[in-house]
Amino acid sequence: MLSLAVAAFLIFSSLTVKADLSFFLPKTEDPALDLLINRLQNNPQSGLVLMALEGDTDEALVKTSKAFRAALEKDDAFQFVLNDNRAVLGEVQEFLFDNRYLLAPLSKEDFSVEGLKGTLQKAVKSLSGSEGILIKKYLPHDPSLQFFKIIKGFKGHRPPPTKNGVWFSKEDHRALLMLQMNSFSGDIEKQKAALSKVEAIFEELRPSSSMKLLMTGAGVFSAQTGARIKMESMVLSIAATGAVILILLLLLRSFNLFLLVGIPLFAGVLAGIAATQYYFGYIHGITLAFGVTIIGIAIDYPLHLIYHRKKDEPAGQAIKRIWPVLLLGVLTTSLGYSAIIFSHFPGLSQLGIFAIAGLLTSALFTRFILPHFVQDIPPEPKRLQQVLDLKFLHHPLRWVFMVGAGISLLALLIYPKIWEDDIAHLSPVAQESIDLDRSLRGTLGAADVRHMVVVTGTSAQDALEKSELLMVKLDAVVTQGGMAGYEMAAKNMPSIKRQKARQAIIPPKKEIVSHMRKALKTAPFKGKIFNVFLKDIERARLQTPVTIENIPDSILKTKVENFLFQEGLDTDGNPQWIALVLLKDVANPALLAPLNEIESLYYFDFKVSSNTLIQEYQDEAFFWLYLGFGIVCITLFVFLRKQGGIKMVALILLPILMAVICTVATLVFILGVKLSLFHLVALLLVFGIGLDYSLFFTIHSKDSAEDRAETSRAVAVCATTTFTVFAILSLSTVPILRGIGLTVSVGVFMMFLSVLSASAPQGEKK
Amino acid sequence: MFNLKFFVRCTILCVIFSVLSMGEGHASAFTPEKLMTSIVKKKFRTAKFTETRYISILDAPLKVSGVLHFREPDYLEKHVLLPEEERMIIEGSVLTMQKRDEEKAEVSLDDVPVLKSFIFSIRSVLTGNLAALKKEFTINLIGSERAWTLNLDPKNEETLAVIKRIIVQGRHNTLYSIKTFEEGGDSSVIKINE
Repeated sequence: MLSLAVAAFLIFSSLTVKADLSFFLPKTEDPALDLLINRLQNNPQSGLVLMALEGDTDEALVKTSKAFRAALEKDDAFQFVLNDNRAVLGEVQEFLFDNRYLLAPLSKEDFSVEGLKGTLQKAVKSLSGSEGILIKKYLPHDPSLQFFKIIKGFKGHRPPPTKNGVWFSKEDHRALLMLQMNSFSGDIEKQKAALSKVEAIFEELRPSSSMKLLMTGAGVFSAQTGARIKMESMVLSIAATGAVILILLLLLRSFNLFLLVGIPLFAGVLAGIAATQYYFGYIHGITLAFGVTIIGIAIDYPLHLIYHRKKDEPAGQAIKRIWPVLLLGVLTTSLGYSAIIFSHFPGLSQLGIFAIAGLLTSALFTRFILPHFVQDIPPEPKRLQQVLDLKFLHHPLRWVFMVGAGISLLALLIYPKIWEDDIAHLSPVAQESIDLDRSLRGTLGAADVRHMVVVTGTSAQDALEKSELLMVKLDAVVTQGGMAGYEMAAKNMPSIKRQKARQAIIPPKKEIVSHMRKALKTAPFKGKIFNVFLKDIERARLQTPVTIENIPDSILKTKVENFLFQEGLDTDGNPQWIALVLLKDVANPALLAPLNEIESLYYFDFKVSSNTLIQEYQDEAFFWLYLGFGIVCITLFVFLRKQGGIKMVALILLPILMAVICTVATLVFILGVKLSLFHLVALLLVFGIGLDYSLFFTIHSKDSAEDRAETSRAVAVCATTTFTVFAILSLSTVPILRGIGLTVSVGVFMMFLSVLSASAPQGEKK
Repeated sequence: MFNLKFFVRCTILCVIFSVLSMGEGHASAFTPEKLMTSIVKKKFRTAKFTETRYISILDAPLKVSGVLHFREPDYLEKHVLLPEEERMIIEGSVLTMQKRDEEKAEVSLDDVPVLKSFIFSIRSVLTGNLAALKKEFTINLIGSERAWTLNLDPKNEETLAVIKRIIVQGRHNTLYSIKTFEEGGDSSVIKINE
């Protein structure tokens, strides 16, 4: 007991618990792709928060939007706050102007006499046009209006709608704001702190209790969802634990018996935690909560010991008697779980490790240590025997199950839509948050990250150079109508190589001066006004190329940094740089597909790709399930070859398979569930549980009627607790947890009835 | 970054219209109030214009000409025909610009508050709302009905940074010129032939 406590202390003190979304994110074979998924889900623009104020008069919303922005701007936690279409360039305007000849393309012809003539003619036309009044200040410095070409590149296609100058959605009566937080690199805690600050600031200047602040964005999602998962995991596991304690105390009517049942489970949980922590270096909050629920079935082991012990039989002897069956059950269940260890969902493989370590430990604990703890197990309460005498169920149910399973199987084979094909439905983010995000993004014209190209490089410059090569190909796709356009860092910040190439085009000052003099002869400009241009272009020719570091802190800089960043290491262990290219309004993905053949480049339709991934994982999960099933069959056969061989194996497996089929049919047809990978995993658990039940029933069916009654009572108690735990889990709002909860609770119910009905008549014949 | 001067110029057009739309008042004392009243009475439709821009960096002034259109209640179009065709339309609070062979550019006046108030106040001239006009400009009407001059001096700092003064001149109900004096010394004269 003491050693268990010490072990518990040691394990808990070194525990690293995570509560982010990584549990739900698949890993792929490709490290770069992994990284991307990670980045996409956790980081890009993850500091970006879209906000809406609603629930008051339009005037009050507009006024609060202005005050809110002013208050947020005072705080260092936020990089910038926007709520209007003004001054988007702000501080960088000067930077862009000063470096205009390096940041936008010019051709050699632009500097010839003819080229300059053309430029000057255009300039005169511009002066007589509506833009004349704007450009005349710049013309002497910039006759080709290079600066305006750069600015044009920044302007969105359509600015967000406004009311009294601030972003405002007239249909929804919402004032909109955009906030960039400083806490970036996926640090959930920091982001949460910053988000609470936003809420506190809003609370302070909120003019009426009806006005509400809505927030969305990747950072908001992970904070909200993380908090919800944490709370649900906690509430549900406490509820489940409480329910199990209550049921056990009610059924066992003995605190000693209860302790006896609980201790192996506790040991199992400790082992599960330790193994997961050792293997992964951390344990996810969900693994912890859900894993405890899964290996909750470990209370079955001591329960079997209690129920199968004959009167006055020492505990040690009783356990020896039932151990072979128990061991077979544990081994087969563990083998089943080994399938998900290899899953690409880190959460699932954690669960696999946790379950196997926990179950094996609990079983071994029950076998070798528990008998020493308590020499004399209190007898099973009498009344329970009567309550749990379920003989009446045996006969008719068997036929119901056979027919039911047959019909279900047929229906499942015919019915086409039993699989979940949209990964979005597995996301723990609430649907209303997703809808809100879509609506705000739509109004504000914020890029959504469905279609993208990922460019990898050994340095920022390398990634930029590769992006520039890609531009030619992307421009071709745009011309062919394959998409509306694209955004990338290289558009705003060319590589040093490209900047040097631009400098090389500029002729030396003497040459331009002479060309300019000739060109001016035919233009109506006053003689010396372009001297400043000649000075500027000479400076541009000789200046040091600029890099991201030179951009003053601004929205532009943030944008470039969001599109170009260092992340992780490549396969050779060097720092890896990633340049993201967001594609807009992709109409023809087929035109983009060839991009994937280029080295260090990935074209990615996030929705399709992740759905394909899910499909692949499902196929893979099936492979492991079949393999696991095969291993279980062989193991059973090896153990039971002297006790009836194949016939015995079939007798054990048949009711289980029938129950599994009925469970799936119930989920799909009655509960309207679409199956996913996670349901498969839950079925694995159901299968393992059923195997335990079936083994005890079938193998003990040779025993006397009294023994069978004991078995059915033991199994009934086990099934009740398991059912309760998972029924509670199915109350979760997190789709994955709800799916697993539903599957297992329905499954255990079916399994119990199926196994019970199948086994009893068999025993009566012998 | 927005083309502030351009907007101001558009608003000047509104002034043109406002004054073009003057009615045939024959009251004894000629006041801005009277001017406004006559403006409401007159329904202006279309007029030709020529504009001369005096720009310091050019050897010679630039000439621009075209047609102006107005439609109740708030549609205003400057259709330039020479030297390059171009249309500018202000309708409601949206400004649309279109050059030949170029895409339409649309801007909401909401995004440029200075100009919004400027344009809206000018439009209030068209609808006879003197109070709104006085909010944006210091108004000075000199001369007589036969030959009058309306000086508009912007009150707003931001507007002042672009435009120093607008001078509108007319005879009776006919407006014939609008002069704009810009910050920096450049100026422009628009002459209107109704």
